[in-house]
This record gives sequence, structure tokens and C-alpha cells, in this order.
Amino acid sequence: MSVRATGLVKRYGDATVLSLDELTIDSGGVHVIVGPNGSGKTTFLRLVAGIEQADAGNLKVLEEDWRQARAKVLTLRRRMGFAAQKPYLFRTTVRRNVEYPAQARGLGRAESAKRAGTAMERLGVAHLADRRARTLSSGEAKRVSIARAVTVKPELLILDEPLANVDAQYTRVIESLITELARDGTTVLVATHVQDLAYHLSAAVVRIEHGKLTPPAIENLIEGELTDSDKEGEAILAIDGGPSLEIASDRRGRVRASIEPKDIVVSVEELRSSARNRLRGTVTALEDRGNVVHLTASVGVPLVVTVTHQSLHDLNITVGSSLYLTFKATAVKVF
Amino acid sequence: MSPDDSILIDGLRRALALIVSGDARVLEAVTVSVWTAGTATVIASALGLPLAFLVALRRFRGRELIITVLNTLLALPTVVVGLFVYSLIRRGGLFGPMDLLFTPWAMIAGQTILALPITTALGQTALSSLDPAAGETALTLGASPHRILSTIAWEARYGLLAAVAAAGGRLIGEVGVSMILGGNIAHHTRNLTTAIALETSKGEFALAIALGMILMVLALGINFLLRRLQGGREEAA
Repeated sequence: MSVRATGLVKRYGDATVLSLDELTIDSGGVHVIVGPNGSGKTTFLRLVAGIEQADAGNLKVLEEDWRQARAKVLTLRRRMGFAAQKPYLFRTTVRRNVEYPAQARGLGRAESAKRAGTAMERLGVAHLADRRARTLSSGEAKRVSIARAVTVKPELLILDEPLANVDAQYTRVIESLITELARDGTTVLVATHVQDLAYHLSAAVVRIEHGKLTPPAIENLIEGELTDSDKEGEAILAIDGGPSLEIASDRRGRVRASIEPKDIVVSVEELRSSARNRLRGTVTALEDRGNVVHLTASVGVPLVVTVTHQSLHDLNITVGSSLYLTFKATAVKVF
Repeated sequence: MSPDDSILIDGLRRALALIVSGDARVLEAVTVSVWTAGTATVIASALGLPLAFLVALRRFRGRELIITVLNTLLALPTVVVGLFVYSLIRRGGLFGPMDLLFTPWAMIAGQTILALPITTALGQTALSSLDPAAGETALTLGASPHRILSTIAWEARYGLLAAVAAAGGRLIGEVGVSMILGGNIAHHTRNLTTAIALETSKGEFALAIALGMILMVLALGINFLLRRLQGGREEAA
């Protein structure tokens, strides 16, 4: 695993800003921490990056314990890349900013320049190379800081709100950079306050609120392949290991999507309606949640539906019952 | 026009002639001033700026006290410093056997003491007002402790150079230390300020004004540099 936190506590004065019982981030792939502003995401990333020390608990990063790694601190830092939410760019040119990490690792002028050139090209900031870094817009500065963090091919890349203040045209560039780096073996750890972006980037999403881990507020997360439909404005989503859905989206290719449990209608017989999706399934679990019941039905993949106690009673549904799940194409939200 | 005005204008005219002709007394005074103040500024920077790093970046007991003392010492009267060093280097003083009194080195010693609180206190202010993200960023980018320090120095360079320029400006115009420790000896320790004092008391207004004009130009030059550095800081912020 890349990061393992146990009993991790960080305080500022009397305020406990972070208290994580247990959090593990596996090696490889994209991992996202989502949560509102001020929830403790940045504090966690700063602890992982070794900018700050925890007040209690253990934090292992790339198999090294920050507390015990004193002798290896520099080596450990050099295995990571970090781009802050509000990047600090040095008072020099953009080029020299991006060359910095390579030069700090003693890679020499030519190699540093080459790597910086590639990274700047990739982030679309090559034309700004000779500009003074402090004259850039916040979006440009963000891209420069990301370019700077990736020049040295880190094992663990930490990005705090990488898409904040970034122009729409470069959002795609950064997203595909994150995906490519993860494919090439880098573990990418991203913090964002935007839930849709979190699930767009990864299925490995953890949620932090008020400094504590909370269950993700999302149900029925599905992954699959989006292809053209013969009907206008619609697409076919072939769920991995499950049925195909008709959905409304312009996107194509691999996507993550979710279906709101309250948008699914349960019936014993097949409904004739305008809803595009009718799936036959079997009830595998019923969970009482106070006013409502969370019904899990297997349709190839498990889907959760919220129903009232009365409906459950009227339809005479128990575990093992056969039923139909019906929902509109627009009930499927693509991230 | 009053008689005082005519003396001033006459003085200015003759002063210009002295400067243009490259008068030996003027050149000597300039050389002593620049050499002593320059050397003292370099020494006070070499000692004071590392101290400024220590006080600005480290947290230790007594740190607040040191900052308060440094800020108080900014207004150290030159004659008090002169007197203090005099007591050390006079015949019979602790450093008496070194025979420093009435030499340029005595002036440099006194001026260094005068400038040290300036380079330290203003350097500390420059470093403390730097965004902590500067050092943190260097850290996360894999910089060694040594490189982190040099990066911080680079980021705070305008403020640090301003501290050095402020020290130089104070030293070029001071008279107390130079007079007490240098003794105003012709061809040896007579600098611009002690020469002006002497020539004025002799009634040699033209020479005094010529020296005064040069002193003003030097002080102006240092202040222009200071302004430019501060301008650079605003631009880069």
C-alpha cells in the first residue's frame, strides 16, 4: 500500500482538525479524498507529504513511517510529488520553477531542462517558459505547479484540488495526465471538494467531513462502457458483469455512473411506461432504515432501492422475491 | 540676497570646481568613507544575515527577547558605540595591545557593531514576512536542507538586500564612531563626515560643501538602490 494511517490525529491549538481511525490507500491507481472545504483534506495531504507532523497515531507512506524515517526523510520526500491547492511559485521564470525538483535531485542541467520541457509541454505551459512565474494567472500557476510536481516521475503524486481555477480546456488535459500517470504505475492521491469530479477520476473515493472518515454519500456506483445507441440523445451503458442500460449522455468510452436509489421504481410485474430501463432481478437483502427500507436487488450487479414499509408490505416482497426495477434514462448520472 | 546665501552659492560654485578637478583631499575622504563603511557593511552582513535566518526560522527560548533587543539596538547612538569600542581598544583596554585606536580598522570595528543590529533585525523581518509556503514548497520538491535555505534566501532577496543597503546608508553618514575611533587623521582616517566637521569649523565652507555634496550623492545612490529593491519586491509579490 502507498499510505496507511492509523489513529492519526492533528490539532491546531485546541481544535482537532483531523482524526482518522484507519485509512489505507493502495499502491497504484487514482485515489480521491472528497469533502467540503475545511474538512481536513489538505491537512491529511500535508501530513502524507511530510510538511507537517501528526500529533498522534501512525502514518506510513511508501512503506516508511514518517516518525521513524528521520534518516531517510529526504529520500522519502524525493519519491513523492506534491502540488498544493494554492501553489507557491518561486520568484523566477516558469522554466526554472519546473526545473527545480530535477536539479534538487542532482540530475544536471541538460536532464533537468529536458524533463521540464516535456512536463511544460504536457501541461500546455511551454509558451510561458520564460515568463516570470509571479505574473501568471491562478489557472496558469496551477498548471505550472502540476508540471513541476511530475517532472521527476514520483511514486506517489499528491494533488490538492488540481482542477480548481483551471480553464475548462485544460481540465481534460490534467484529467488525462492523472489517468496516464496512474496507468504507468504512479499512485495518484487527489483531494477535491467536488463529488462528481471525485467519481469521475476514480472509484476509490474516501470521504472526510469535520476531520473524520465518513461513508461516501453515493449508492449504486457502476462502471462500464458507453457506446452509441440508435436512438437520438441516448447511449448504451454496458455495465461490467451486468446488464446494459439506456442512458442520456454525450460521453463515450469507459465511465463511472450512479443511479439514485429513490429514482428506481419497484414492481412485481413489468411496467409499461416511458422509463427506458426495466430490469428483472432478485431481492438479496432488506435493511430497515427507519422511515424507509433499503432493498438490494441483484440484476447481475447489486442495486439499492429505497422503498417504504407500506410498499414492501403491499407488494409482499421478501428476500428471494423476483421483481422488476424500472428507471428513466436520465436517472443514471455519469461522472 | 543675504550674506549667508552668497556664502552658500559661492561654496557650491567652488565645490563643483573641487570635485571636477579631482582634489586630493576630496578623493582621500571619499576613499576612506567608502572603504570603512563598505567593509563594515560586508562584515555586518556576513554575521547578521545568518543570525537573521536563525532568529526568523528557528523557534527557541529567548527568541522574542532577542528580537526586541535587536529592534532597540537599531537606534543605537553612534557616539555610544564609539565610546564603547574606545574603552576596549584604548591603551590599557582589553584589546589595547592590538594598537587599533585611530586606524581605519577601529572605525570598521565600531561601524560593524553599529550595522549588525540593522542587518540582523531587518533581515529577520524580511525572512519572517516571507510566505512560509516558500520553504514548504522547496521541501516537497525534494530540496536538501541546504538548498531549502538558499531557496528561502533567494525568495527573500529583495528584503535581505534592502537590509544590507540600509546598513550601508547608516554607516556612510555616521560621524560619532569615525570621530572617536578614527581620530580624523589626515591621509589616514579622515572620511567625508569627519572632514566636513573639520572644514566647517575651520571656515572652509567650499570644501565642506563639496564633501557634503558627495556624501549626499552617495547616500542618495544607496537610497535609490533601496527604493529599487523595494519596488522589485512589490512587483514580484
